[in-house]
Amino acid sequence: MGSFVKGFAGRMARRYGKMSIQMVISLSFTAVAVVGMVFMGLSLSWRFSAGAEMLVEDNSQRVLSQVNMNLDSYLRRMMRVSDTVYYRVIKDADLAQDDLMPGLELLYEENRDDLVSIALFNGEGELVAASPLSGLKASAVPQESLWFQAAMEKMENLHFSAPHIQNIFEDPDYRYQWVVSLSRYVQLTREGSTESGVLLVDMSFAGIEQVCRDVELSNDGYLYLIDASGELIYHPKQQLIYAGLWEENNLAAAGYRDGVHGETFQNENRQVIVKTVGYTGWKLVGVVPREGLGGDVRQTFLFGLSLLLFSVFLMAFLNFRISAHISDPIRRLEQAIKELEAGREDVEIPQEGCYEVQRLGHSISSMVSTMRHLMNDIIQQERQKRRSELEVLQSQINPHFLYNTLDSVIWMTEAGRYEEAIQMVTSLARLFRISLSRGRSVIPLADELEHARNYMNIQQIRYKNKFTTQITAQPETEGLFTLKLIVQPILENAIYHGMTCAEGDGIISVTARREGDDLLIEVTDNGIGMRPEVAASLLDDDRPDVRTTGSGIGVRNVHQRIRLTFGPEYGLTILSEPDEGTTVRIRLPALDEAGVAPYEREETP
Amino acid sequence: MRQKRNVVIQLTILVALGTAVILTLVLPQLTITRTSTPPVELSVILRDSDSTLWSNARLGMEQAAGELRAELRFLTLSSANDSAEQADLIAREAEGGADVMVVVPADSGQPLATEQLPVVTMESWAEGAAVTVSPDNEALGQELAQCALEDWAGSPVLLIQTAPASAGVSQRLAAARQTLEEAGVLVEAAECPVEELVSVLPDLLKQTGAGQVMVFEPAATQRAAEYKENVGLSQMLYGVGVTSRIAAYLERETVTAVAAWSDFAAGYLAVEGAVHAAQRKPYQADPLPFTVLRGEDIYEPDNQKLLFPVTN
Amino acid sequence: MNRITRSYSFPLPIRLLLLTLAVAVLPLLPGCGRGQEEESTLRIGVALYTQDDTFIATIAQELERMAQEEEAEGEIKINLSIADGRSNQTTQLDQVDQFISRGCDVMCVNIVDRTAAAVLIDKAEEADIPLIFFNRQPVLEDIQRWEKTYYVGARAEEGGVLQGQIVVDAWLSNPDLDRNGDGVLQYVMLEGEPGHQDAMLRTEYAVKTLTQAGIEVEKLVSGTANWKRGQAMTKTLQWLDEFGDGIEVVFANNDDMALGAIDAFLETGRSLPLVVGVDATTPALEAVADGTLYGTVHNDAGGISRAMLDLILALTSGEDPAQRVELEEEHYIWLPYQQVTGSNLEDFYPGA
Repeated sequence: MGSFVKGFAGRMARRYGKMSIQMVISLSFTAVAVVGMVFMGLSLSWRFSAGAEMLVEDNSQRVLSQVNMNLDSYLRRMMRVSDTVYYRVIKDADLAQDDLMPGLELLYEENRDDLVSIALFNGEGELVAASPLSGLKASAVPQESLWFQAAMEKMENLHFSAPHIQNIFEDPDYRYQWVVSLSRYVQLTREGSTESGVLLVDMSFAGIEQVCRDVELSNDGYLYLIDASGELIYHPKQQLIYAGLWEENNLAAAGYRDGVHGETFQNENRQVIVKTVGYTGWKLVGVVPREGLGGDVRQTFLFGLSLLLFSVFLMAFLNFRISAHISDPIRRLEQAIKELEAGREDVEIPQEGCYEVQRLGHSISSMVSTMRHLMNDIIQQERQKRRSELEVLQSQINPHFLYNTLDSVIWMTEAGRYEEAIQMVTSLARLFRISLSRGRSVIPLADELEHARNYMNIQQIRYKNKFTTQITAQPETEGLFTLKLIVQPILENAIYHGMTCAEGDGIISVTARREGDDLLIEVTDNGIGMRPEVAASLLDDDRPDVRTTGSGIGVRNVHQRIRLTFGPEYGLTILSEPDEGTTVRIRLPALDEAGVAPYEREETP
Repeated sequence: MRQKRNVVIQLTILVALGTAVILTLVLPQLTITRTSTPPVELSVILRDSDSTLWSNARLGMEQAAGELRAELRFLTLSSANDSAEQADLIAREAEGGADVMVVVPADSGQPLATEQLPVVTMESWAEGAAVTVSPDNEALGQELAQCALEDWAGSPVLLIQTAPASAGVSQRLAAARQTLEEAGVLVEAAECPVEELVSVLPDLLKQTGAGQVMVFEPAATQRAAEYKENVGLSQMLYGVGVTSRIAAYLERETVTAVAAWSDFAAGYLAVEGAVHAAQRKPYQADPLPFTVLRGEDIYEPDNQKLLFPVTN
Repeated sequence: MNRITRSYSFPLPIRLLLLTLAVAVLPLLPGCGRGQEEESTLRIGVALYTQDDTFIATIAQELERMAQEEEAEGEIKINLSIADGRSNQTTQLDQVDQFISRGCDVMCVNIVDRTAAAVLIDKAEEADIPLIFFNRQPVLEDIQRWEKTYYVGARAEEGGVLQGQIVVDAWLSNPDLDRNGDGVLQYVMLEGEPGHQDAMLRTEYAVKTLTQAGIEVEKLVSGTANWKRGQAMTKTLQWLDEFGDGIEVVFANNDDMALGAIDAFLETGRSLPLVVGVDATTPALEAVADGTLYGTVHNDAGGISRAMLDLILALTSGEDPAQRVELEEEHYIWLPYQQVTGSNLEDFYPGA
């Protein structure tokens, strides 16, 4: 179980992690809202239904008390009638002389709506007086009636009977009325002596009915009245019950104490409220079906549900909107950054949406611009570093050469060859002047060739004209520019590798020509040459520095400088065959005065 | 793609929620309109001309009509057992838009001429009746005859048929006759319309020398009893039904015994059955329970409850 | 993925649709009007003060019969609901409430307590249902509360006068009626329900007619028997104990009570005096035929029913009721009384 929960939680978390911010926001907000509202709805409905039940109970109790009061006062009124008849009419009268009728009639008329008859019987059940009807039915036997016997048995009490048909008086209209009989023992006076009798007050059923009817209990509840033994006195469906078409739990209700009870009758769960009517022992029973308590529960439920759903709908709508409002700018920001990543330069960073996202966009865009600046700086620094390295390399050449040259000068001076020494020093001076070229790295091709010529002059003197030099430039190359000091290292190499060991007259030629947009300078010697693969490997960066006599480094250095300055399509090409000679071809862009500018600027930041 | 999917998901959720909201709002309306169907129009057509004979049944009918939302129309014939007039009335009511009818058939042999209009009969079954509310007529005749046998003193028993076309009344009479004959009693049978009962009775009694007279419908019972009381006949009278007048005659022993059932219940059940029939719901009507009552029994608590309606 | 989508936002039409839907549904909440059912049925609520009163029961039966006839003739369908007030004004008010809630077109009320008419009229006016009182007449002030209130009945004083006339004629033509030969008419008076206008006026005018005819009268006793036969019998039995054969004429405010008085005389075996009633109910006419009841005044139950039905039909068809029935003071329809004695019994009781 625990592992399952954990697994589920993990899966959810993973899924959650994968969801878009919009989904996360909208779903979680909506979920929280729904849970909250459902919780609220449930707790409200729970409170409501609990409250409703209480309310119904209270209401029923109140209604029952009211009815009880009305019934009590009604019964008291009837008892008062009985009292009045007894104490005002019968007690003082002597049957032999006095007529009871006016008194009885007066009381009957007074209570005509509630009474069916008032009658007085003597102990043997003979009628003494009655109103409004006075003819006994031939079949009537009052002394056998329950009300008569009850009155004779307990003479100190008033007795209420169960409902029955009034069957004593002859009625020419053939009316059979339901009555509740109120009977009591009375003392009759006849010629001074007393005898026992029974006073009967028949209450019309309508009186009781009127008290109990039109009582509104909640949820189509109703009220009925039973006597102590459970016999029905009033029920809204009394006749149906009498006819056996309806059933009521009245016999069980007779056993209930006052208060609220629950019962299940005919598969109906219902709330039963019982209240005992004073004196008579009658019980008022209120019945409220539990089913659908609290009004139309289904309606209320549906209405509540629709309210809930509507709020969820609104929440969802709002959440979707809000989350879109938040996440859309973020997404666009992300998009822009992706493009940046892909290397596009002119990306505009959007700055929109919520404040935080706006700030984020702003920060990112300022970060991007800072980054660009930093990157440019780095490039500059790198270049400068490179250049300084090169300069170091350049300066590495010079002392070596200078030393050799000066050595030669010394040697020539000692040998008294002053002419040559002067020429040599002059060449050296010119060489250096061009080398410096006021710090420029790009110089006119003519100067470079001049530089090469001077260098060759010096070398020729040193090597005693072991070789001849031809330096030629095609006319179309006039006015072109080149990197400075690129020909000299190659010449140096040619002399060392090509000429020192060569026998016979070596020829070293330098030609400059134009090929399309390119400027080609070729240095050719007829020295020992080398195998093509060796030649090819000379320029290889990976090749370990084999410091042979001269410096292969020099050639490679030139190659690198050209490529660094102009790009990989430029540089050196070495063509060689053993015993044939070597040609080094320098390829440069054909730069005129105007084309030189960017390179110059770069060189001098 | 993901964007699009999100939009679709959200749209689906919103549409589903919206539909649910609308549904929950509309649903109660639907149930309300379902409950507020117009009341069932119910016509009650008797075979008597005197509607007071049916006043207890009418009370039951009104109670049922109130509970089951029916509108009652109470129609009587201008002369009792006029089957032609009754057929007319039935046709007219059907035309007049009644949803269902309760008929006490004047002539059971004549099918109830109603197309698709359910009819509930009382007292006797008739062709085309969806439900019949009546006591078990044969058992009723037998028990009444049994009761007459208890008092039998040897003289012939006169059975008077006042509604020969009514199957219910005929069944009662036939059953009583059979029971009596099986017991070896001399049975005299006569037939006459209710209205003429009073004028025919003296001759019949003289001719047959009957000591006991039996009639099988409330109208006849009431008339015979009235006549007996007015003229002071000595023959014992046995009848059917309890109106308040018959109860009074019973009590005075003008009528020796009657077979009685609760008219209130009969009326109630008839209307209940009719409303069910109008709504095309099945309805099972058991035979009404009846008792044979003598004068001294009518105030038994159970009999009181059955015979005299507590009007509320 | 590379596309920048302006993500989530519904197309405008859908958004509008959702909104209108949400707004449109809310007002649906309260119930929508019930379908109007076709109104070819005329619903009449009839509230009786009690069905036990023979005369009232006769009116109701006549009304039912006439409605049935009316149906047989025309296209109109009449639904009569008759309610028995059982002499209880509260019960009757409930019944009238029921009539109103059931949508009656017209109400006919035989009011239990004629002093309680105002409540009924107000209820009817509120529901705009024409109200016809019959037999028991509310006071003029109440009738005038609302123009659609009507009263159908007979003039009580006329009944009294005619009843008196019967006695005058009999007294003058038959000297044997003066049992003790003192030339003074000794009478007892059985009165109807206390407070009922018919009871008071009939009592008053019957005696007035006698005195105006120059007959000397002596009231032995009078008492109320609430229109009922049984109570009248009880009363009469008492009076018989007291006055014996001294009673020369019994006036009864209605036939039921007159029959009760006759019951009392028959039971005691005394010879019948001159007994007169009012209403001419069927049992009373039988009694006239038997000779036990000397005479009665025909209170036209059929006429009352006819007049009510005519009035109802006029009211519901939108006609001016005055065109169809004789309407006095815009509210009253008066029906004539007629004397009934053995001599003209044939006109009222063809069976005799």
